[in-house]
Amino acid sequence: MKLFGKLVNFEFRRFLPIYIILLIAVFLIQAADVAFYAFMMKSEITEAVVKHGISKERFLLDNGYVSMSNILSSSTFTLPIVMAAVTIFIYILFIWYRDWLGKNTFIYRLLMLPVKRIQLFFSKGATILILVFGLVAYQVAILPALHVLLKLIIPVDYRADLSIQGMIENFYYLKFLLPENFIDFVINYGFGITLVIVLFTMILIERSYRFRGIFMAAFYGIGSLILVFSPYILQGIMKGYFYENELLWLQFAIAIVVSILSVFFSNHLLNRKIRV
Amino acid sequence: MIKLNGVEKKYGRKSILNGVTFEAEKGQITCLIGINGAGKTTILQSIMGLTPYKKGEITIDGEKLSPKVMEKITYIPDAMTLLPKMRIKDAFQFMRDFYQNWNDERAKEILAFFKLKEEERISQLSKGNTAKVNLLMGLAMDADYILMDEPFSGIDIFSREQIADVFSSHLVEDRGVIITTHEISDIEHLIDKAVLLDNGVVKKEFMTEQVREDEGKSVIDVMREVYQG
Repeated sequence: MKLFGKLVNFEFRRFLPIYIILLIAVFLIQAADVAFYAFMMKSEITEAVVKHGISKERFLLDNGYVSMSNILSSSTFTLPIVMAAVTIFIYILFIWYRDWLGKNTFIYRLLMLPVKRIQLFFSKGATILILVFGLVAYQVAILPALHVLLKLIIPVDYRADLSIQGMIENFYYLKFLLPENFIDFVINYGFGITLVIVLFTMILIERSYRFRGIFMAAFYGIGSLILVFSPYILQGIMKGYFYENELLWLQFAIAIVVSILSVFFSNHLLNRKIRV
Repeated sequence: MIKLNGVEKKYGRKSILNGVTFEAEKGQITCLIGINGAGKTTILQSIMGLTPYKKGEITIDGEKLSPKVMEKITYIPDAMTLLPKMRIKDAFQFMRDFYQNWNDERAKEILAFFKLKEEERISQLSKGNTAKVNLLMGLAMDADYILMDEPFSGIDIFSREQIADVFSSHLVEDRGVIITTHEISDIEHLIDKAVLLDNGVVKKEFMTEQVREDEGKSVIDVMREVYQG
């Protein structure tokens, strides 16, 4: 267990420089978006109220309150978080391939470590999960700071302030990543973990069987996808036999089975088939 | 003892190892000799579980490869296996973190022997120094067996001499060494046992001292007989 922790720490630190750049980029782009929006609204307020003498009430009636909710749904605000998520997704592939295809073949060292090889699999998976949770936590943490920026620019009379909970509810991606109830949280992340496990298994198939492995991995990926979505196929055949809720749980149960089988298969590949 | 019994390996349809059988004892230097493509590296990788083999059995002191057995054995490939951005001291820390049998004292001794500095970055090492660091990482472990893949490949004469000196030092004493090379002249006088390979087949296996004393032949003489008929 101690070695597993060290492996996770090692993997995390390998991505840390890129991760820090991503986090800084997320903050800067979102802060710039908030500042741009706030200054634009401030200039509109100034022009309407000071230059044209429109009353505050009239302005608010025409334009509404200035609020974080208007920014949270904008594409420029969501772009950096999507960009960070895409980077982490690409890293799901890169986290394995960098050990084979880098300047030095670090995979030799990893496979020779005195740990069960499946621990390499889990440590890389845990690293991805930490990166995702870290990104979500960071986004939640910077929301109040961005709100302060808005408060500094827009006078209180023209502002509708939101609580953190309110901001999360208005932010589509966060609403998905941080759902209100625990069951949704488990289901969302459960499917995410299944995706990572299947992708890892596909990579290990390719690394074990090389050229042939590309087709085998594609077959495995498509097969897993069909299995996970099979309840919906069944639903189509049986013409609405299941309730939506039942379908989701059936799909979740299949995802768990696919994940467990993939882990066993990956363990087999790492111990018996993998090539440096 | 590292024991290979009838090991077979194929890449696609091409046979790389055809029933390779030999033993490497602790306290001896066993040299796998053969031209490129003879199967030398594949044998070492098969022992380490870095490439799967089709048939046969490999045991280390009677046990199959497992994380526990991994502690008994250290592999020094002909490629650098540390991250380029690491400094030598980071590599030491990595080894310290993961290997219970990492010997820091010995690592520093070898570092001084090779005249390397802990602050040096892996990516900035010359080819000769890269080979030395690779060797260091393997030798600094308190492992019973050391597998070395072409440690003299592509490096200058002075580095070769330094590396060859390691073989006659206390650093490999009492350990079982399997070394692969196609440049036998550097270590001919140091090896205890030679295994001549050709196309994945063990052509001849002999104790060098015995052949020297009984038949008055060097390893190179036997190689000529085997490879050139």
